[in-house]
Parts: sequence; C-alpha cells; structure tokens
Amino acid sequence: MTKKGHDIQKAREETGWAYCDMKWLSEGEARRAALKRDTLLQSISDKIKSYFKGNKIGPGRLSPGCMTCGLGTWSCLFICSACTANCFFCPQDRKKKKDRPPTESGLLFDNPRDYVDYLERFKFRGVSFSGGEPFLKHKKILDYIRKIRERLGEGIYIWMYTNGDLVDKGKLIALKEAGLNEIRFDIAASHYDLKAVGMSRDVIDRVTVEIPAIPEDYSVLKKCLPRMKAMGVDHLNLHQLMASPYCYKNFMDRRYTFLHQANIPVLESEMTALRVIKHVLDHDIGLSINYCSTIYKNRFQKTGYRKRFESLVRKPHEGLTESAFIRRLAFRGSPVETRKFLKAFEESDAHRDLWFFDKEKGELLFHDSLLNLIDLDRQGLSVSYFSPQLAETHDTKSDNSKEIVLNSRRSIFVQRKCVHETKMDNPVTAKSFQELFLEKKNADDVMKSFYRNYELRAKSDIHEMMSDRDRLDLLKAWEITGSGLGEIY
Amino acid sequence: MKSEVTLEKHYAASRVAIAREIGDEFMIIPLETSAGGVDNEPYILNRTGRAIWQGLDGSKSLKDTAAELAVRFDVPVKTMEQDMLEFVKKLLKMNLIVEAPGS
Repeated sequence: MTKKGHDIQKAREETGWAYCDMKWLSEGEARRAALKRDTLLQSISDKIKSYFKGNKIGPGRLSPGCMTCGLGTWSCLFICSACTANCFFCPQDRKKKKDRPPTESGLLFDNPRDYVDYLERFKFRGVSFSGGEPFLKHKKILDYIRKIRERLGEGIYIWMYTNGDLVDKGKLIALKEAGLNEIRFDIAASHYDLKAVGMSRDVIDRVTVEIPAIPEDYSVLKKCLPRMKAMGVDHLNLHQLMASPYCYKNFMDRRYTFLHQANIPVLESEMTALRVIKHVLDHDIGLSINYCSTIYKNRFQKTGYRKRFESLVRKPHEGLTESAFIRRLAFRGSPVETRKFLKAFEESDAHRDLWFFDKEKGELLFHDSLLNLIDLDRQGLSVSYFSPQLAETHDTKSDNSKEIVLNSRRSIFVQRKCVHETKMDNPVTAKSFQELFLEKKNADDVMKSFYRNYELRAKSDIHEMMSDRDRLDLLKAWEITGSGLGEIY
Repeated sequence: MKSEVTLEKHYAASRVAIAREIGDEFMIIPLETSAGGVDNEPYILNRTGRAIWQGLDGSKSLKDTAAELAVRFDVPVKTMEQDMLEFVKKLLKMNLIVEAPGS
C-alpha cells in the first residue's frame, strides 16, 4: 500500500459508515483542485512568508506563540469544556452537559502547581488556555497564569483563546496584570463582532483574531479586514476546517469537500484562506496572516509532541526519524548469519549499547548507524516505528512505561506504542530503504536504481516489486515530516 | 496545448520511465504520474510493442521506424503506421515518451 492508499484507508476508518455519504474528490477533480490552488499560490508567492518547511504560509510575522507551536515547545491547557457559543464547526461534543476539568494531552491538571511542574519538567516555552470558553473560568486562569509567572518568570509566552462573549475591561486588566501576553478572538463564533477585540487592544500587548476559514463567510470577513487593521489587530490566524465526529454532519449539510488526511480537512476552507491572503495583499491591507493548515498540525504539532517525550522511551539501539518517531531496525536470520553480524558489531568501534540480541526471539536489534557494517546485498531487514504517549497510569503489561515524577504527589507516565512495522526481505528494497531514509539520497535516483536492480525472474515478481515500492513509499509517513501544503486527494 | 502526433515527428523515451526485461516479457515502469504520485503500474509490452519502443530513440521519424518494422514483422507499412500512431499517443499520454528535437 502506498502512502496515499494508507491515507485513504485511515480516512475511511476515521469516518466509519459516514465515509460513503461524505463528498470526496475523484482523481480528475483532485487534479483540477490542485491546479486551482497552485494558480492561487503562484499569484501570492512573492509576497508571502513560509514557515516550517512551507507548511505554514502568509504575509507578515507569526505570533511568538505560533513560533513555539512550530518548534514543539507549546502546551495548550483546555481549561473547561463548557462554552457560551454553539458553533457549527466546533470539533468538541457540545451535547455533554458536564464540564470537564483542565486537561493537556489527555492528562488532568486540576492543580496549577502540577501543571507548572509539568511545564518546567518538559521545558515548554509557550502556554495557552483554551476550552470551551476560557472566560467561564476566568479566576482559575488567573491562578494558573500567576503560578506560571511566579515559577517560570518572563521566559514563557502565555496566551488564551476566547469567543469574546464574556470579555470586559476589568477581566482583561486582571489577565494583563497576571502576565498574559496575547489574547486570540474567534470572531466567527460571534458573527464577526469586533467589539471585544477593540476593547482588548487597549489592554493586552498582542491581539490576534483566530478563526476557521469558512467559505460562506468570505465576504463578511473581507469587510472586517480593514477594520481589524485600523484597530491594531496584530495577527489574523486562519485555520483550515477539520471534520470531527461532532461537526462532520454540519459540514456535509454545507456540501464541503473532504480531504484524505488525518483529521479530515475541508478543501474549500483552504481555498478560502488563500483567497483572504490574496485579498489582503491585492488591497495592501497590511495585516499579518498565518494560514494554519491541517497538514501543518499533523506534521509539526504531532512531531513536537513526539520530540518532547521520545528520549524517555527510546533505547540506545534505536534511532529517530525526521518526524520524531522511534525507529527500530532488526535482523532475524539463521544463527550463523546472526553470529556473523554480532562479530562485525563487536569488532567495530561502536558502543556496546548500540545493539541488542534478543535471544528469546532470535532477533538482533541494532542502531541505524551500524547498518553499514552488515551486508544488505544479501540480507533483509525489519523496521518498526514507535510513538511516545503520555498516560495517567502505569501500564503494567508493558515494560516500556516510564514514570515521570512531577512532584511528591503527582507522577505521569510515558509509554510507547508501535505504530507500524514492516519486513523487507528483498535486499534491493532494504538497500533502497537505507539510501532513502538513512542516507537521505535523492529519491528519484534511489527509485531508479531500485527498479533497475530489483531481481525479476518471472512475471509474477513484478507484483512483488511493486508491493515493495509501495512499502517504501508508505514509510514516508513515519520517516519524513513533509513540506508545503497537503497533497489534494 | 497538446501537439498532434504525426509520422514525421521523432520520439524518445522520457526520463521518467525505466524499461526492464523479464524472460520474454518487456515492461516499462513509469517513475511518476502527472500528479507526482507513484500509483502507476508497469506497462507490459508484447513483441511488436517492444520493437516499437526500442525504435523510439529519437534518431528517426515515426515513418522511418514504421517502414523498418513493417519489413521486420512482415506487415503492410500502412498497418504498422496506424499501430504506431495509436501506440505513441498512448505512451505520450502516460508521459513515457517525449517529442525529440529532431522533429
């Protein structure tokens, strides 16, 4: 299966029975949509900045908060789940009446001190408060901000999100005095009302409008842009709409087109964001815009998460991919071959921790830096990828669960989960893997060499070769972060 | 704009294709699709297709290649020319060949 095939299968799994009723693109439609987007991108390309391998684009600067997100040093605390609005695009379950306590990455942080310990332990540089509607927990947020500032000083950037419904000057001043650096308004939740935005401008250092790019709201947003600039809005962050189990029906009612990526983004939303950028540039409005695509979130936010925790569960004989998955290489062959490889490792200068022989499984695990010591021309290879995961409790079944003591009353656990494994029996495939992902050779050259050298003795071997090609292509999902906006299909 | 396929033109294998032989079989493997993906399957050629492919080296016009192959396969020149035009159109659509400078 290719990476594209894998993405389509994942989207099918994620959307379940609804997949058939949702609007997806045919191959021809995808080509035309990509062409349309390329034309739009070309028309703005010389006036926009590109961040994080082109996954984020827009005119002007990024907020310091957005920089911490891209660099993987951002923590977002969901302070509550209750909300004053009921937006059609909300990814959360709005039917749940019971409010949820503060959580981050699935961990409960009801005590501000525990949260500060967590921030300090993992060296976060940016913190935000989201919800629900965070102003419903205004006092609680003040408490968290004060505790963060007390312990971590000015070296950490703090912002919060709001729909503006409960904002008043007194609350804003209290937040500013506690140490809030930035406030972000979702004006799409308040019919594009800029009153609360204007009120904040006089109090908070940095004011951002952060909204999903809603195709039907393009005209109303266009009218707001000069007013935002005039009142001193620092950034306009445009998100790509994403379908969750709680909002996909609303999206279907609006006849949106869904794309085969994790979190199921909406095609028309991306096009709307790019059109807004073009409008701002064509009319010299001078607003800084950050288009925050779903592909960016999938690539950079998730990589940031893995980078933070991988070292706690990665073993010395394991490597790390560009997108921060733990990579484990293994050889399982005859005892004679295994002994030969072990001898090669022992006779090299390599540190003893860089390989491990699992006697029970008869499997030799080794770091990718040792791959050159063995002869891939004759041997296949197993590759496994793991992702770190935070947990509240210790997984007694797993020997890979590591306790992180935050303070005398609170521990959290980092575990690892195998996300993919594959076996490459063909030596040409294994060699191509090495060249593509470890030596980072030119992909076109590697694939040419793969096609030329793959041993084909019978017509049936063609199928095997194409399966191996797809297997290599699929590994990009764990090996490479990827650049630019997402491929349309 | 798509240019018309004519017998006077020269064609050559594109850089995005690799040819492989497996016993009596001959196949062309597209290295990329027009969208940059890798979902193109190998294209297996029969004996005539293989001879045509090998004749598409950019040095001769389709007309000259058809004349040579008509003799080799003992078929009327007109039939070979028609077959070649159809085949070349197909290969062009798959980006497996390009128009050569000699045209």
